[in-house]
Amino acid sequence: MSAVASRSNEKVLVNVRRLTHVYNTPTDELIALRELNLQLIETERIAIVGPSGSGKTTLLNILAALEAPSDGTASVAGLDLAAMSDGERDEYRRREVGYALQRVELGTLPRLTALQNVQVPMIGVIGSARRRRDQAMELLAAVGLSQRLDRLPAELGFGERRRLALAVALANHPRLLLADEVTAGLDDEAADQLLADLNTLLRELETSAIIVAHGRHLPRHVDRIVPLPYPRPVAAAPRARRDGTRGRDAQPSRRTVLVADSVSRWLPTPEGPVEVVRGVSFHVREGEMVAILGMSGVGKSTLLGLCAGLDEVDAGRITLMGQELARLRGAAREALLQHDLSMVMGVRPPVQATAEESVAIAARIAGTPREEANRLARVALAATGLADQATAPLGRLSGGEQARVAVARALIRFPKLIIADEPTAQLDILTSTDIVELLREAADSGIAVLLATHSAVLAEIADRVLVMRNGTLQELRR
Amino acid sequence: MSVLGLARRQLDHERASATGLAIALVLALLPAALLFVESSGTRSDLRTVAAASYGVIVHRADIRDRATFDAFQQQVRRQVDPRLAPYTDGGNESATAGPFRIDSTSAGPPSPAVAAADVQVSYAADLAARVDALQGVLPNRADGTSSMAQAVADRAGIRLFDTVCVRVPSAPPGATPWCTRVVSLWRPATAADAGLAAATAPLQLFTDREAYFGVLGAAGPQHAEASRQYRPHGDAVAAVDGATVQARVREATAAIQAAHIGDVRSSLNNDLQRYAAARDAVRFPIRLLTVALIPLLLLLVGAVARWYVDLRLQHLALLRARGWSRSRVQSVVLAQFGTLGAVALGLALLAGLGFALRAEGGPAGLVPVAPSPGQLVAIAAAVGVPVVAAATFIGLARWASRQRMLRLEHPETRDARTLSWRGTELNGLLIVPAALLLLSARLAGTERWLPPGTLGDVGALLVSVAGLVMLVVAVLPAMSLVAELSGRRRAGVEGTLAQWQLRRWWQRHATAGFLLVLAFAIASFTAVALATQLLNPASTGTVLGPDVGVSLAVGFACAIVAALLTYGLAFLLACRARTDDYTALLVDGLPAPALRRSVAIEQHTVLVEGLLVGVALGLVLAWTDLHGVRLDGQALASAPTTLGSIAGVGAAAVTGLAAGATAGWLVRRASIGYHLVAQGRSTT
Repeated sequence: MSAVASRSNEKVLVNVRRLTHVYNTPTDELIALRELNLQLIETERIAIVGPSGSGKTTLLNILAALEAPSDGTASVAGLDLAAMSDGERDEYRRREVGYALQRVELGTLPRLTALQNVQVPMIGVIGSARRRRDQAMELLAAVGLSQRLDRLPAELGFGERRRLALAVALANHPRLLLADEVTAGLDDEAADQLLADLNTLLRELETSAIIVAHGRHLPRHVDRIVPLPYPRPVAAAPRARRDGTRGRDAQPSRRTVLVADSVSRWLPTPEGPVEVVRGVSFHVREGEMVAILGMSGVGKSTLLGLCAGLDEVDAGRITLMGQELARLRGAAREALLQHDLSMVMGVRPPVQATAEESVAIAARIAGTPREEANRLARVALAATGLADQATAPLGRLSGGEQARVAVARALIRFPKLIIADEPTAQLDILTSTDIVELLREAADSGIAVLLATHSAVLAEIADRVLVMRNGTLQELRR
Repeated sequence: MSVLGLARRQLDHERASATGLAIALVLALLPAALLFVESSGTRSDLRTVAAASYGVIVHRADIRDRATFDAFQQQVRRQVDPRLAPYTDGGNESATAGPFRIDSTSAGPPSPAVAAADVQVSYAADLAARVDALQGVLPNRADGTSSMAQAVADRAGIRLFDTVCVRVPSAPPGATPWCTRVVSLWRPATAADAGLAAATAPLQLFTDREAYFGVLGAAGPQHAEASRQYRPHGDAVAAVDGATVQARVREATAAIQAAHIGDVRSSLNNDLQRYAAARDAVRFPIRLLTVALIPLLLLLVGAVARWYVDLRLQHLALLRARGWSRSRVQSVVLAQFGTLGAVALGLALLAGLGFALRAEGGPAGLVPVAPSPGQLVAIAAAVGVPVVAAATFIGLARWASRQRMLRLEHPETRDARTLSWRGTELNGLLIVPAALLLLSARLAGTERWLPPGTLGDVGALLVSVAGLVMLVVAVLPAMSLVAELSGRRRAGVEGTLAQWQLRRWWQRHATAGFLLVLAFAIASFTAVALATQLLNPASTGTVLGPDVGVSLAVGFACAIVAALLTYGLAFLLACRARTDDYTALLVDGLPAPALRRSVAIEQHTVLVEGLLVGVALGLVLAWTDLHGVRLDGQALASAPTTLGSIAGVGAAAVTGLAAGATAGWLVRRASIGYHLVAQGRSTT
C-alpha cells in the first residue's frame, strides 16, 4: 500500500505498519486490509476514502482496539494495540481514543438523553458529577446540540444523531478521534457544516482525527486525504453485461411496471412531521434495473416501502402494473402484491427452515401448491447457485448464501417487479456484487428490478441510477 | 449520570424482562416461606395437641398420712421435674379417698339413690385454677369447708351452703360422720379436664389439704390414693418437636417405675405420637414440594436473568468499547440485579411480616420447631436458592462484561448452529435410573419390600426429586419428535411455519422446555396432593391445621406462575429474535393474522405437550410419594384416590391451559404485526 505519509520530524500519534486483517467466514477468507501503512502526527486530521469493502471500518475498529489485526502492527501514542493487556486496552479506549460508529444507533444508549449519553464515557475518568455535566454540555453546545440536551437519540434528527455520536466520542477529550461515515446521509451543505463544526472543536481540543467521509467539501476540512483502494480487484464481468442491457433498455416496446408520480411522504418526529420523500417521480420498465443510490437516512427505504405497498403515500400516486396502489384494497391488493411483486431486504429469511423450505414458502404464500412450490424452489436455488445447499438449515449458511436464498425467494414467484432494499447490507463488496448480479440477471430475463443501495459500485450494475438526497431523486447521467 | 443512574435506566429499558426477573426472584423465596408456614403450622398443631392432653399423672394407692403423702410428692418431683420441667407445669399434688356415703345434709336426709351412691373426698392443690366458681367463693384457707361441681351437686340435691355429712359404708351405726359445708359450686374451666367433667365425675367433695387428712384419720376409708399431675405447657411443647417430649416422658416413666414410686399414666405420649405420624404423612408432600421447587426456581432465575442480560448485551458491550473496565460494567449489571433482588426481598419481607403478625406466637412462632433432617435439607435448599441466585448474577455479570461489541450474534442463528449438541437422544437412557429412583421411593414409602426407614426422610426427598428431574430431562428429546409429528398433520402455510419452529423446539429451547415440564409436573403433583386432602378430610384427623392446604395451594400457584413466566418470556424473546424472519414473511405478502396463527399453533402445541407430559410426570410422582398411613386402625393420611387424582390433574390442566392461552395471546399481540416491517428495515 502506498498510503504512507512520512512525518519523521514530527511527533507520530498513529503508526500503522503492514497491517493486514482477514475475516474468516464459514466458506471463505475475506481480506479486509492488506499490508496497509499509515502514519498520523499529533493534531493532524485526515480523511480516509475508498469503496465499500476497502477496509475503512475495519481499520477504525482496529485503531479503536475493538479488533485485533491478523498481521502487522498498529500503534497509537506509542501503544502497540495488539500487545495491550485488558486493563491497558480499557484505559486506551477511555482516554486516548474516541470512536463515532458508522451505525449511530449502536453508539448511543437509547434510554439516555443526549446529555446523559455524553456523560457515560466520562464515568471513571472525571470524578466530579458536576464537571462531567458541565463538560458534556460544552461538547453538545460545540456540536450544535445545546437545545437538544434532554432529547433521547430517537428524538433527534438524523444529522443531530451524527453530531451526538461525535460528542460522545469526544467526551473525554481523546487524543485521537475515529469517525466512520460521519457525513453519511447528509446533503453537501449539512455535511460541510458538520465537518466545519467538528474541525473547530478538534482544533480547540487539539485532537487528531481519522475521518471516513465523502463529499465535495471534504478537502477543506482535513489536512490530507488517504485513499484506501479495495484489497482485491473487483470482477470486471458485470460491465459487459450492463452494456448489453443498456441497448435493450432503449427498446420502447417494454411495458412500464412501476410508476411513481409526484410521491410525497411525511413522517412524524419530535419537531413535527418531516417530509422524507418529496414529490418523487420515476418509473421502472420490464427488464430494466433501476438503482436508487443514497446514504442511510435519505428516504430510500421509505420510498421503496411505498412502492411495495407497505406504507401509504401522503401525496402523489404509485401505480403497479397499471393499478394505483392507493385505490386497491383487501384481497385485490393482497393478490397484486403477492403475485406481481417480490421484495428482497437485508433481513434474513426464516432461519429454522432449510434453504429449500424457505424458498418454497414464499411461493406457497402466493398460492402455489406445496409440491409445485418445492419443485420451483429447487429450480430457483439452482439458478442462484445454491443447489448443493438446498437441504441445509439456513442458520448454517453464510451471510452471502442467505442473501442468495433471499433472491431465490423473490424469483420463485415469477414477479413482474423485484424491489430490493439494501439486499447486501453487512456483506463484503465481492459478495454484494454477486448478489446484485443475480438481480441483474433477473432483470435481463424481463423482470423489472428496483434496487436501493448506498454503494456506488453496486449501483453501477443497474441500467439507470437515481441519486436520492434529502428525499428528492435526480437521475445520474452516465 | 452515574453508574447507578445508568443501571436504573437500563433496568427500565425492557420492562417485561425486569418484571419477569423480579417475579422469578419472589418465587425463589417461596420455598423458604413454605417452610415457615409449615413450621408455624406444626407449632400450632403441637399446642393444640398439648392443650387436649391431661399430661402425665403419677399416682400411688394407700397413702393415708401426711408424712407419706409428702414423701411421695417429693420423690415424684425429684424424678419428674428435671425431665419434664420445660414442657409441663411444676406439677400439682392431689389426693382422693373413698368410698363414703352421704349420711345427711342440712336440707334433710338424702334420697335412697343418693344415699347409696359412692362419694369421694378429694383434695387438689390446683383446683382454683381448674374451675370457674358459679355460686359462692372457693375456700381460700384451711377451714374445713368444701366445694363441688354444680352438676354433681344438682344430681345429689345439694345446694350452696348445705352442710354434708359423710361416713364410710362400714362405719358402725352411731359413729360420728365427717361433716363439711359446701361454700362454692363450680364448673370445670375446660371441658377437656376429664377429671372434673360432670358427666363422668363421681360424687366428689373437694376440700383443703388439712381437712382431707383429717377425714382420712377420722373415717379410715377403704381407698386413699395420692397423685401428682403434670399438665403440658402448650408453648413449651410447641417450641420443640413432639419426639423430644415423648422421649422425656418415657425417661421419667422409667425412672419412677424403677424406683417403685408409683404408677404413671400419660395421654401426652400417645397424642404426640399420633400427631407425629399424621404430620409426617400429611406434611411430606409439602416438604417434597419445597425441595422440588428448588431446581425449578434456581433454573428459572438463571434463565430469566440470562434473557434479561441478553436484551442489554449490546449496550453493555458498547460501554466496554467506550473504555469501561470489566468491573465497572459488572457493577452496572449487578446494580440492576441488586435492585430487582431488593424489590423481591422487600415484597417477600412484607408478606413475611404480615404472615408473622398473624402467626401463632408472633414472629418467634415462625422459627422452625426442632427441624428434622428432611426439614434441614429443605431449609438449606430454600435458603440456598437466593445464595445460588446471587452467584448466578455474579457469573452473568462477568460473562456480560466479556462480550465484545463486534462479536454479538443473532440468538436464533446461534441456536440453529448449535443444534447438534443438544439433539442427543442419549437423554432417553436416563429413564432407567429415574424409574429406579422413583420406584425405590414408592417401595420405601409403602414399606412392603424395604425395611421401614431404609431411605429415611432426607433420602426420600432427594431420591424423589432427583428421579423427577432425570425423568424430565429424559423425555425432552422425544417431545420434539411428537411436536413435529403433530405439526405434519396441519396443512397450509401457517402449519408449515409452525412445523419449522416445532422441529427440535424442545432442544433449541432446552432450558425453557425443561422448566415448563418440571413446573407443570410439580403443579400437577401438588394439585393431586391437595385434592386428596380436600376430598378426604377425615384422613387428616382434627390435629392438622389449615396451613397444610394453604401451603399446597401456594406451592401449586408458585409452580403455575413459574410455568407461565417461562412460557411467556420464552416466546416473547423468541418472537423478538425472529424479527427478521417475520419481516421477510410479511414482505412476502403473508398477512399478519396468518403469521399470528402460525405462532399460535406453535404456542398451543408446546403448551399442550408440556402440560400433558408434566401432568403425567406429576401423577407418577404422586403415585410414588403419596402414601396412605393408618395408626391404631384410624386413617391418618390417604393415598391418592382416583377421584382425587382426576380432580388434581383436571385443576392443573385447566389452570395451565387457561393461563397459558392468555399469556400466549398477549405475547402474539405484543410481538407480531406490520410494525415488524419498519423495525426490520431499520435494522438494515
